[in-house]
Amino acid sequence: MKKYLIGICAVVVAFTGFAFKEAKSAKRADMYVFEFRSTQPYTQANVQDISNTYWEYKGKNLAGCASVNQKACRVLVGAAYVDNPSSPSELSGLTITAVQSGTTAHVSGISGSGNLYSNQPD
Amino acid sequence: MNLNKTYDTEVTFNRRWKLLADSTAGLLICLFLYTGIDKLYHQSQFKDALQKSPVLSGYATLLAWSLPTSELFIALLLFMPQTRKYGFKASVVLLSAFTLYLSYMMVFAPKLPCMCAGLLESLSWRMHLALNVVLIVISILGLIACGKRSNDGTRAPPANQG
Repeated sequence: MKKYLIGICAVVVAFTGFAFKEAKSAKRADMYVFEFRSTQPYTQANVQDISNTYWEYKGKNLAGCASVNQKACRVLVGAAYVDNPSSPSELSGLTITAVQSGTTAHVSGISGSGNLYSNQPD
Repeated sequence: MNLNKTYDTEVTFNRRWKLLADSTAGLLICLFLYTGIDKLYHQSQFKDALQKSPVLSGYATLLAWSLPTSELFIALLLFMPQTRKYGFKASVVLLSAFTLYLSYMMVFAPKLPCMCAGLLESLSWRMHLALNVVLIVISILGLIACGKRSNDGTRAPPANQG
């Protein structure tokens, strides 16, 4: 038993750390992530259109994109900005501002406090 | 010649190696267990991050399972004193592969956010790379300490020649 002592201590520390981190992140509000459909043309009008035709729901609390302002990628919004928080499919009550740069458009602004956006390289 | 004194010095020397092997194993068990569980628990986020990677996107599903499984397996190898040496070797291999990947990402996709487990998610690519190098050094130290320990055998104290 003594020879496993260090391992047992390490297991306890790892599980405690994980449980502590989870309890802390559970207090944080969920962010709903929508991604601009890559099959659609990256025009300013399309990027600013919040309908499901252009912005697809990807999941909760996902990471953003590369943050290179060349073409639209993802928006991360709170529960108040989705059609149905328990089963989201579309953005709702949100304004996205886009800028056309060359052949593609990227997001330059988003309404609502706490909402985020990230673009990607072309 | 005082054989007992020589033996005592050797025992102290071996205890130091044992302490080093145990403490490095403990640290790495913590690391691999924590990151492995975190990746499995947040599997969809981890897979999503892999899909965004320029080099790993094609293997995202495979890696989303195999990487945390490997981490938990290494933690298990390190946990058991009989297999600890293999655990340290596997740790060096996995951390080296990860360091190569980090170096590649720093050059080709430095702006991509890092999907790292727990406390590590706040680190930049550069900080993560530095941490990985330190962890590789710790694994190598553990491997050396393990080798020194296994060389000492189970020697009995010298018979008193009085």
